[in-house]
Amino acid sequence: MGAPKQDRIVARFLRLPPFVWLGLFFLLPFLVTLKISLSEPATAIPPYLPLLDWQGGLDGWSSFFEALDFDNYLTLARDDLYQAAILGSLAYAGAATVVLVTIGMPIAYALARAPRRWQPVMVALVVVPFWTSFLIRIYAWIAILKQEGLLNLILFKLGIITHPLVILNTDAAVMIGLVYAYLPFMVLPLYAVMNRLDPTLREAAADLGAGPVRVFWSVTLPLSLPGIAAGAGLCFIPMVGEFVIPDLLGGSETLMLGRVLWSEFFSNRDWPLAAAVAVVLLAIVIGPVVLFRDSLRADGEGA
Amino acid sequence: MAPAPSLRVRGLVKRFGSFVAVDGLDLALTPGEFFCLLGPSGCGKSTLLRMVAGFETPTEGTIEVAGADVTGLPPHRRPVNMMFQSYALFPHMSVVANIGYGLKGLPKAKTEARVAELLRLVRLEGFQDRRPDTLSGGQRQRVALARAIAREPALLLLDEPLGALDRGLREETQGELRGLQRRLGTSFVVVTHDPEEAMMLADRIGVMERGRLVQVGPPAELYRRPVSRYVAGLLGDVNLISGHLGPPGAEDTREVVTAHGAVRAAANGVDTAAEGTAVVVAIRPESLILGGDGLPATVEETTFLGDRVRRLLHLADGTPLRASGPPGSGPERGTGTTVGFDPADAVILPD
Repeated sequence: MGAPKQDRIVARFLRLPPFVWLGLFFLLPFLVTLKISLSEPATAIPPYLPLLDWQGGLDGWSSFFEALDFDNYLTLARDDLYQAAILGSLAYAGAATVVLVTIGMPIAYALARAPRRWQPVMVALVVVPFWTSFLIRIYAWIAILKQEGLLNLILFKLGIITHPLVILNTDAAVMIGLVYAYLPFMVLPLYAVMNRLDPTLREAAADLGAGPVRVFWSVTLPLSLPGIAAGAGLCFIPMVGEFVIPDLLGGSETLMLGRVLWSEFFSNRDWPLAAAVAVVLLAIVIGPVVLFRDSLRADGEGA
Repeated sequence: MAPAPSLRVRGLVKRFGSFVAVDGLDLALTPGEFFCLLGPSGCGKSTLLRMVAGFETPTEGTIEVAGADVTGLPPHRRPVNMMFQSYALFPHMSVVANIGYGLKGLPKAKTEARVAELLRLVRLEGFQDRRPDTLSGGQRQRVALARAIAREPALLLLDEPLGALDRGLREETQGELRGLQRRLGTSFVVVTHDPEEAMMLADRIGVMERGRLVQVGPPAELYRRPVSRYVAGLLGDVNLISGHLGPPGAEDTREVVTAHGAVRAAANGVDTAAEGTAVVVAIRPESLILGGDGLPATVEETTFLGDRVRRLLHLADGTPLRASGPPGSGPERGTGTTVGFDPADAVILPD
């Protein structure tokens, strides 16, 4: 008779790992970061003033709360540089998301409408780039985009240009890098949703006099919205905090939050400010997550 | 001049790789006709429907709708509408948007009036703003029907229109569908695998088997004069007695020599076949006459069904027979009797 109870306990245990994982590798580091962000920089190792004196007992706790310091956040709010970086990150990620949806839709649509037996192969091809290190692929774009690079060479040989285009270290290069790196994350959820669309709905629309364009706008697109939302969320969120792409492909004027964070941390050794940037970044990104959560869940239920 | 057929199909063939789904099909429907395509799944009836709608391209042959060749036209350019088996209602649109989908291009007021009229026709007033997933199966079926007739097509195709409904609702809906078709005067082509449904709905039934139309005719003709054992068995209970053709004669009926004696039955197309050809005589249970002139048989079982009595018999060689007649006197279980029939009520079919 004890079996059901045992099962419940086992079931509860099986539910634990994700929470333990999140607690250890997300919540704990986040709390540490949060703590540092409320501290003050110091010329020491580590380069910030410890807030909490574990030996101090109750006094230690009270001094901890007294020492809480929102200066770093005030700095972030007041300084144009950081505001520009926040807006820049949102702008790059937003623009790249729009481009990704525009490019990803036809790719996913073509995948979903390809003959059934070819689809696994084609989906595998979308994922193939992951077999090479992300960093190496971004370095490869440097070789393609630089002044004496592959792209300029080809355009020059074809007679399209007479002077090499300056692409590397511009916003255009950052956009190319973002779109390239995140395209699979847009295509896969879109494909998953479009693949499940009942093809008779398109037939019904055509039967009722809708040409291919109207069928797409009135049936395929609206029914693909959960996939668009999932893909946009999967791409937009990490792109806001992207560091490698703007650092390697962008110019000095490319202002993104990830880069600011990096320079505060390593160049200025202002850990508290860097930590504050990280917390702000998280706060910005949590918004869309909450927004997209419903659509992601609806997507999962539709299976 | 007679009006052009609402549908004319000539030499239609559809091959999928080496599989022949539709194998040289000819068919013409008179305007306003209610036609049923009847056959088991995989016989090609749905493929035929999809070719008429434009979702499949014929390998060979032509399709004309109301006198115009539509063989090469895409679905959205054909004066044909289809009601899908799954209904294929747009899940993200209201009932009104679904029904009005095909009316694009009409002025707004006209569209609204037409949709209101259709809602009334299928008795869905008050449901205009509902989403399909909040409707019952019967209501969804009626939305699909309203949407399909909204454009006043020259020809309406219905793929198993009642297949998703439960039994009671299906019978009620059959009557409604029939009534609607009469009122609209539109030609309907219904695909079904249910012979009873086909008989209840259709002016004419086309029985399909392996991509071919094996027989086309009014339900009563198919029931009384089937051309094959397959058609005979499809449309209801049938008794089959095997034998060999007797000598040809000038009459409508011909003699068949069975193991138990000679009988006569309607020649039904075998009038020119050679004497001695193996055939079967097909007789409906209600056409068997017990106790008169005929072949000796034994009554195995009698079942009283209120309005009639069903008897299970067998001939001396074990051939099982079913007889159905009015309740009252008749041979009892275990007794011997004879079975006979009016030659006009029996047909000779190739074995």
